[in-house]
Amino acid sequence: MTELVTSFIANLFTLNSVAEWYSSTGLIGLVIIFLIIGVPIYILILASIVGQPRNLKVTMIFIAMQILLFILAIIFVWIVGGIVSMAVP
Amino acid sequence: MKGEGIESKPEEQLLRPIIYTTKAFYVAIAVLIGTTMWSGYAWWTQLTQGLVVTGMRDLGVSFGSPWGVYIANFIWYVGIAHGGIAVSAGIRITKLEKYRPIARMAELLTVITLLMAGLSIVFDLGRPDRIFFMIIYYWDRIGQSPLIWDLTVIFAYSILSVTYLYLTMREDIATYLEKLPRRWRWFYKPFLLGYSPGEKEKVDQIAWWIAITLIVLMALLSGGVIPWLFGLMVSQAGWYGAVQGPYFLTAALVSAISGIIIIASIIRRLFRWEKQIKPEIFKGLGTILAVLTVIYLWFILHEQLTIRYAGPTTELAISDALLMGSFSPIYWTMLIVGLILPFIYLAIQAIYPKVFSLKGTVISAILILVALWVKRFLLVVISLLYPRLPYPVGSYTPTWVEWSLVLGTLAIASLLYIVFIKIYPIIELKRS
Repeated sequence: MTELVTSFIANLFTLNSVAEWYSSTGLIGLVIIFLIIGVPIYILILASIVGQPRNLKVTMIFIAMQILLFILAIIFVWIVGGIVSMAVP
Repeated sequence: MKGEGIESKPEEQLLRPIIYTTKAFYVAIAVLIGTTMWSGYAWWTQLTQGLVVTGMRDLGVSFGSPWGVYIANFIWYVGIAHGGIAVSAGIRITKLEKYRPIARMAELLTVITLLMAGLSIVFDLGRPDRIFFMIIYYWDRIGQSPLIWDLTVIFAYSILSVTYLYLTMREDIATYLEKLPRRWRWFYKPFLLGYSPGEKEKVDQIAWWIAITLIVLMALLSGGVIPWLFGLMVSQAGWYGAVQGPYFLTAALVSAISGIIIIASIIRRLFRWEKQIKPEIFKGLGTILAVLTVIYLWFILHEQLTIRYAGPTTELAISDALLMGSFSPIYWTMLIVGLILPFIYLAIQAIYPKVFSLKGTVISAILILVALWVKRFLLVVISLLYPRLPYPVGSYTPTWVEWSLVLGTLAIASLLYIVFIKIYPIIELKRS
């Protein structure tokens, strides 16, 4: 395990091939999305659940709205994309 | 104007736009729908004939710029959106009660301008279905593509902004539902899903956390992901550099505060809300705008000084085009009329409050907002017209299709804003 971590860190600083470059920049993207951007959102959701005063109904409305809006946004993009694809092939 | 007699309770004054409809409202709606339909025709032209109907062309051998007014428009709207929520979140977090009347205006501005930013990108893609490919191939591209990071943050930001706006409106909807005629109530009831009067404290707690999250995301999106679309491009003179993050963030705040000043003044005049939106609010916003504008000017100085001192040839070519070349008339007008003069005016006003003028503040805000659009246009286009490879300098002239679509985003944004004001109170009832 230690070797794996050491070689991984070493690879970050010795970019000798395209594959290595890909793996390191791939890591940058994941860190940006799931840590730097994601963490404030995780904390927000956690705070809505455990923060005082507790009110399960409002928390559920809040979380359900996040999920609903996300799904609606995807569906909207899909429908608009689909209609345009059909209308203007 | 109908409803002018309702002067007894401040709450009823705030409900006046919802209860009474004037002729001006119908005229405004008709004009905006007409403009939207015209831009719909322009979009159809672009969809059926392709991006060749725009002035955009490939750089290099096609002597053009592959990005144009759509991308400038996108950055401009995103800036307003981020700054808008920063203002609103700042008011909530720091409990700046004096500015409370403009909090919802700023939140709504954020939601609508984010939508218009997304629409500008859809126009630029040529085919809206390409957005869907970004979702399908999300995992393949997440590693390298700032565009995917951009898409992610815009999605997150939009969802949180809409939730933020909705949660803080529930109490108001419950309050004014009883005051509305019975025939309208069916429309509002679904928005009160699960509402109970005791939820206020919990809503405030979640709203506070959303405000904090949005401010963090704003720094990441307006000061991070979007400037990274430019600042990370090592091969692109005029874009590459570490300053783009704070530069964009400052521009976002400047444009948002300008936008809020303009909208608040229009609403104040239209509904005669002199008591609700007091001149002190504009004074304060004008002072903040002056400070942020001078910081932005400082960044412009940094940008040009770094290039002029001993910059690479390609960077110098861009700087020459701006300062003394073909783009210099636009650049200097933008800089002097759009930023420096309004800054001087606002600064004088901040130092000597006696000379404060609401009209002057609004005119300054309009000039700054237009200047920031022009600045974004210059940033996007000039760099692409001067490629680093040995190609000749290109040219770009937006066509009627592009201008129509840009105008269309303004019309749709105005239409959405007016419709919202017609349906929901734009100033928080309970707290005002």
